Amino acid sequence: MAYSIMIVDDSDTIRAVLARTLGMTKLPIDAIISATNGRDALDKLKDSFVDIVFTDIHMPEMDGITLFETMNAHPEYKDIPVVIVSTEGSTTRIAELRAKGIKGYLRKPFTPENIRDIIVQTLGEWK
Amino acid sequence: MNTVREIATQTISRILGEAAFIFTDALADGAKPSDATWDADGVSLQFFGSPGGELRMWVSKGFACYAAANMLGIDGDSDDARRKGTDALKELLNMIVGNFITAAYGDTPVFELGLPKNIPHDLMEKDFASPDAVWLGAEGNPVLFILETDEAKKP
Repeated sequence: MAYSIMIVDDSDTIRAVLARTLGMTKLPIDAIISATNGRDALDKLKDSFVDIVFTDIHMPEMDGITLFETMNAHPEYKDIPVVIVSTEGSTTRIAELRAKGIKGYLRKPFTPENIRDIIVQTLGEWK
Repeated sequence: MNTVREIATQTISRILGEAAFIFTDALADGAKPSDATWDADGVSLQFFGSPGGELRMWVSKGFACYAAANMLGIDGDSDDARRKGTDALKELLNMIVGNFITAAYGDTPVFELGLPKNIPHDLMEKDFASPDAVWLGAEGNPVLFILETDEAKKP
């Protein structure tokens, strides 16, 4: 058993970079599930067990905040931690997101250490 | 060069290095394209706040694939690099603008970012001739950027 991680971003490049960087964290990762927007993520959550979701904010069809709010209102998904991945660095914006219940904030560009720290802080060290 | 433009230049260099492992310096003498027929790809991103503005970046054809390949750890001549080149360039600009805003205006104000988009080649001629044009060399490739802000338009 290992972590199952969902990546939600409309950019092919960022999904691929995030998946590649996750592979460099040396964390045990069992599955990486990719989705292109919030609606696609909700569809894939129906069939997938996910430990943590990394999502962009601005996406077509359904943005990352709406995805979080929808998951938060769903009995099966409300306990899955959501991490926002963004280029924005406003502490005011980050505080607003945390007040909503977002578990973490990953700023682009990121390193394997940044991702590892967020996963370990959010889910705990894998034993 | 004003302070905000210096910060933009530093941010572009930092993000290209950190995200795409592309290192920049001042454009070497003679490396600037000779005229506005430069075969270049352009992307732009607007930001909204106080101030609002836009950053436009022009790079030589092929640079986007090179950036994608570096970001993804794949062969620059691969179909995957060619397919992802434009997307990679837009994402680099997104990172540049997001990080530039914090570096230039602090981390308290909230700015809204637009979506990065391709810009038509005929706009390049205007940017090429602009007195605000900043040129960088990125491992031998010319990079042109223009930063426009509401602030800069104030008397």
